[in-house]
Amino acid sequence: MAKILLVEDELLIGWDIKDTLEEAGHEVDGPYATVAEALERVERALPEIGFLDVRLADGEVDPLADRLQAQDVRLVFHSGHIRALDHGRRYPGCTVCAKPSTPDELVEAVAQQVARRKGGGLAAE
Amino acid sequence: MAEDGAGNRADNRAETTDTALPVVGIGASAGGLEALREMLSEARLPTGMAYVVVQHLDPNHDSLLAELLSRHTALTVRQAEAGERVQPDHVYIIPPGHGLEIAGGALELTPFAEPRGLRRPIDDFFVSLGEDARTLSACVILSGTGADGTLGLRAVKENGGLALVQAPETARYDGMPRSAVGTGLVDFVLRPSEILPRLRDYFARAIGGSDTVAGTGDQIDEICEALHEQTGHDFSGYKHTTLARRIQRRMQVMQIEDPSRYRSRLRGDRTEARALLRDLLINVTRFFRDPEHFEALRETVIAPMVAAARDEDDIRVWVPGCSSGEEAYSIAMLFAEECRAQERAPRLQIFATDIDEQMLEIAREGRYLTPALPDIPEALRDSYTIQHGDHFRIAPQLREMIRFSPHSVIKDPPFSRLSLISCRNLFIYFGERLQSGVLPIFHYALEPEGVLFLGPSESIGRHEEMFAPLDHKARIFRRGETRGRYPIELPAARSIASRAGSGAERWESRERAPQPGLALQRLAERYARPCVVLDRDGTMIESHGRLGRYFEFSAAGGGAAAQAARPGLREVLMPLMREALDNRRRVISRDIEVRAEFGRQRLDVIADPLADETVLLVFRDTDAFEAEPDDDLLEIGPSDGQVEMLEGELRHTRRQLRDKTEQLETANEELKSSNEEMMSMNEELQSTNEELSTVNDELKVKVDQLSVANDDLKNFFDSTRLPVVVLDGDMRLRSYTEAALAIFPLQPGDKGRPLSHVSSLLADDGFLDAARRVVAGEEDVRLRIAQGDGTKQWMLNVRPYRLLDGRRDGATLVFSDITEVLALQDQLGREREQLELALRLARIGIWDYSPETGQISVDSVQAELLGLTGAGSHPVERLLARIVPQDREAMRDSLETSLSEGRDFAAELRLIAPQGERPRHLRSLGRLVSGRSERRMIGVTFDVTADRHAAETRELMIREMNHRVKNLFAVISALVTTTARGAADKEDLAASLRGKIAGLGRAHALTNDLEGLHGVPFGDLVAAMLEPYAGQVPLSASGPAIEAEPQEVTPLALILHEWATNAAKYGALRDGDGSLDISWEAQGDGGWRLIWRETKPAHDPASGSAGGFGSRLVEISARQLGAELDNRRDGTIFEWTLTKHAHQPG
Repeated sequence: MAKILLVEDELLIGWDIKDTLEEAGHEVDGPYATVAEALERVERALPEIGFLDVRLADGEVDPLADRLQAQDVRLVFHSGHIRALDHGRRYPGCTVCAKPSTPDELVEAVAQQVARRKGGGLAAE
Repeated sequence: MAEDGAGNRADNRAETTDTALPVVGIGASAGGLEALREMLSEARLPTGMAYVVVQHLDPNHDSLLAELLSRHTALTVRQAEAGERVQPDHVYIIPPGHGLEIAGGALELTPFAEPRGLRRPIDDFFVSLGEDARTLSACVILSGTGADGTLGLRAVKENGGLALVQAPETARYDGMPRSAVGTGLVDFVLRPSEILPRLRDYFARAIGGSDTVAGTGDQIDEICEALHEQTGHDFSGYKHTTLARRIQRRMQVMQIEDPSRYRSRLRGDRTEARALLRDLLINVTRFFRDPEHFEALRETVIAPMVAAARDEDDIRVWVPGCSSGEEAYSIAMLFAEECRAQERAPRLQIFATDIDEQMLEIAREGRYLTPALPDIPEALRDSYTIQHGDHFRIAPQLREMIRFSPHSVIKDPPFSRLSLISCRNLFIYFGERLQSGVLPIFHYALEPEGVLFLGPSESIGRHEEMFAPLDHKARIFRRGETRGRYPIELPAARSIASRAGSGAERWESRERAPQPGLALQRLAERYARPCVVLDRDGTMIESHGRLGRYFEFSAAGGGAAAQAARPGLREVLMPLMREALDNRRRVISRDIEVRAEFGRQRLDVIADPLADETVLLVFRDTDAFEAEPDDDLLEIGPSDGQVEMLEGELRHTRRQLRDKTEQLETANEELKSSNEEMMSMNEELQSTNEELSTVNDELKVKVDQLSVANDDLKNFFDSTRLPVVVLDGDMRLRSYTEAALAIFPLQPGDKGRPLSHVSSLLADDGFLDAARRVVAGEEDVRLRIAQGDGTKQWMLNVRPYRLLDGRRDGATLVFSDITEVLALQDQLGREREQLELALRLARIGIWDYSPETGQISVDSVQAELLGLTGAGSHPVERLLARIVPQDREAMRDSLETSLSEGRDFAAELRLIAPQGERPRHLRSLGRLVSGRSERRMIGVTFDVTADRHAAETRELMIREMNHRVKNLFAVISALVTTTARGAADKEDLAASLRGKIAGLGRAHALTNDLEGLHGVPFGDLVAAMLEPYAGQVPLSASGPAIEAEPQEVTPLALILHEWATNAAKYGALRDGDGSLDISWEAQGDGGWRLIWRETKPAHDPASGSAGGFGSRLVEISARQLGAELDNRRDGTIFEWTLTKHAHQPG
């Protein structure tokens, strides 16, 4: 069970993911179509996991991802962009899902991050 | 050797020579070239002699003699130059127009003093040669006319030199050789080819030989004896040293080394005896030798003698050993001048004698070479000499004064009653004994107060009782008071057969002999019949006895017997005398009656000729003297007066005759010298002619060679295709080639015409000016010139025409056809222009890089591409600075690799662009070219920016496409899950999905602009989405031409699809009774509004709610668009409104 911030500019996909993840028992905030909206949201409530599309209507997701990483938020990148893999290297410990992925793959990715967050948290504690 | 011969100048110098060089003078004239060639071709080096050739040359022509001779001899032949020292084995040729002399071994050119024709260059040179080279001189006389060289030959001989003459029969012209041979002084008469070997042999002996003769007096005596036998002249009393030297010389000539062999030769060879005699007689004598002595003689002897003499007195002078007469003439001049000065006219008689007939001949002629003239005191010169160019003659009145006759002091009876004996430089050759024998003779011959004049080194020895010195220094002596006695036995008057004892004994015996002279004299004076001795002219020389009955001596008569004779004798005297002289017999005239004023006498007259051309007249009275009675005082018969008158006339006539004869002689001499002038001019011309004919032969050979060369040239001219025209210095045609006719239509006769007069096919006559400039001195002129009709273009090259010696004489015009070259050049030019145009249009820059200088030169396009200031040369660093740093190193490396490995260069580079612009891309290719001197890289550069940008765009689009496809798949994936949640069954799901995917497909078919710059027109999008329903119900779609943005296409398509699906299921599209109006409009803020209006009589209440899933999809899509969704129902109308505001983040 985790609080997930969903950022996806293709709302149809966003709503589908939201449905899928909520069915898996997660609390989903979003989908947000722009980086600006998402950053504004993060100021008010910090999620546990960021589920982020890479290319958004107002640009690359990096400023948001950097911000979330700085707050120890676990990240899942969901992108059809070929450079998504680069993000995997830039943000250690994140999960990258190629677009399109099956709902199970998405759920598994979130589960993986939830587990790492718990492991990391335990380790931190 | 003459009886004058002085202290021979040669004797004063050493006759033996050490390393001195023999000099051979060669005189030649007409026919001389041939003889010279024959003579000199025999030369075998080294000859050890120098040769000087004196030829009669035309002064106006250059002589080729040196050149002609040098081809035939091993000797070095050259024309003589002033001041040149003679060298062995060299032949020096006299230059034309000059005389030649040698002094101190050096040649000197002398101007000719005499007019042409009177010059005797051979004589002149031989004289100087004899004096300079002495015994080492030799003269050779070759073919020629006239007598040049003969006098010079004597000078050479006098100085102990050698004389050789070409055998007259081998000479083409034998005048000169014969004249030379005639002197008797020539040592050898030879063929020309024999001359050089003989000279060599002679001088080898002269230089290498020793005094083999001089030593033994006996041998000389024997030789003298042999000579005496052969010639009748005894030289045994002469000084041995002189004899030895002269004999030695003859032996050299005869190539005999043993004196006894020479003696035998002499005994059997009359010719050699003559030759030796001649050599012994050679002497040197001069006018006024020892002038101060002559002056003393004049002062102390001659002047008083003339002063004392009455007009009718005889002054008798004897010059024994007179040789060629100079001494005799000197004394004659002194007397004549003294007589003139004192205005006296004594009868002056000079007897000059010598044993050398040839010398006497010269003396009688009185002709001497001009060089001797200065010896005569200037005051006497004009009065007593007559000058003829190179020689002069003694005046006739002087010649008449002197009687030259052959006479030996030693063996012939002396003259008598002499006033003066001048015997100079004779005793020096005589031994003391001989001198002692001759002095008493002189004593006898002189009258009581007579004077003896000797040479400076001679003395009277022990005969002081006979002669007392008058002037010791000048060797002038007066006869002593001792009575003269006639020397019965003359020193040499002995028979050869009786000659037994020594000379001394002979002289002793003569001393003891009685003195018959006195008795004879007494006899003649007292007891003999009266007699007189007349000379040939009838002058009384001697008289004995009482002659008063026969002659009338008066003051007026002088010595002329005929005038003095009394009437009766007078008439017969001269005829008688002539008869006796002419017939050399005694003649008698009997019973002549001689009348005197006091009586008459009958007598016979006997004329008896004597040996010395005189006549002895003896008067023999045949009757007693018959005294005349006083009354019968004087009967002067008319016949007497007649005879006297006739005789007077005869004398007058004779005088006139003599005058005329003299005039004739003078005229004759002038004619002779004119003739000589002509002869020698002829001679010169002959020499020139010979030279010219030889030159002509050589020229013939040259002409043959030239005609071969000319043929070659002609063939070249004929065969060459090049038009060539050759001009001379006056711009006249010298020659031309066949091909030149294409430009100048020349005729064969045009050669020699000025080029400017010749027509040409050329457009202008610039070629004339070019030719003129080259003729005037310019080096090489090139000129392009067109043919008048424009069919041809010529390149004219005018070059100077040079002669063999490098002088410029004209010009050569060579035409080259450059028509094709020019055409090619034009074509190339055009092609280059095309290429340039292509390069400019294609914006291809050209560059040229020199690694050595680091400079790169660029054309304007390249400069423009690189952003450089302009075409030209730039440092390569300036160029590199224009390139973006990332490419700069790569560019440099590539360039260096290409240069070092010689590969082509290829590089792509980007230029630094201004802020905000994309960099320009250039591609540059280069190739290394090895030029003449330096390596260079030439290359091109072109702009590939457009290509590169297109490629970048393509890559971008592919990425975009990839992204969109993946996104679409994600959308479809979401649609599937979303649709699945709301689907009733599988069929419903499939149909719904198919409809949605097909709609999306149609919508996306409109979005082919991957760059996202252009959207999709609303009309197109609406039409595409409603395509499945077209024709079912009335549809209208209207609105302005506004576009949906690309990212708006998918949501709009899904919304339109859902609305249509819903209308088909529940609304206007079901049952076919409704209608649908779709309209759109632009909002003022840049947004838009889409209005979907269905009209149906009865709406299904379900329409508009659209079910759970459909309405959610529309909502999501609207949110995605950032648009507001609204609907309303109004009766038959159901309406959806979708409003999009600008800048609403969707």
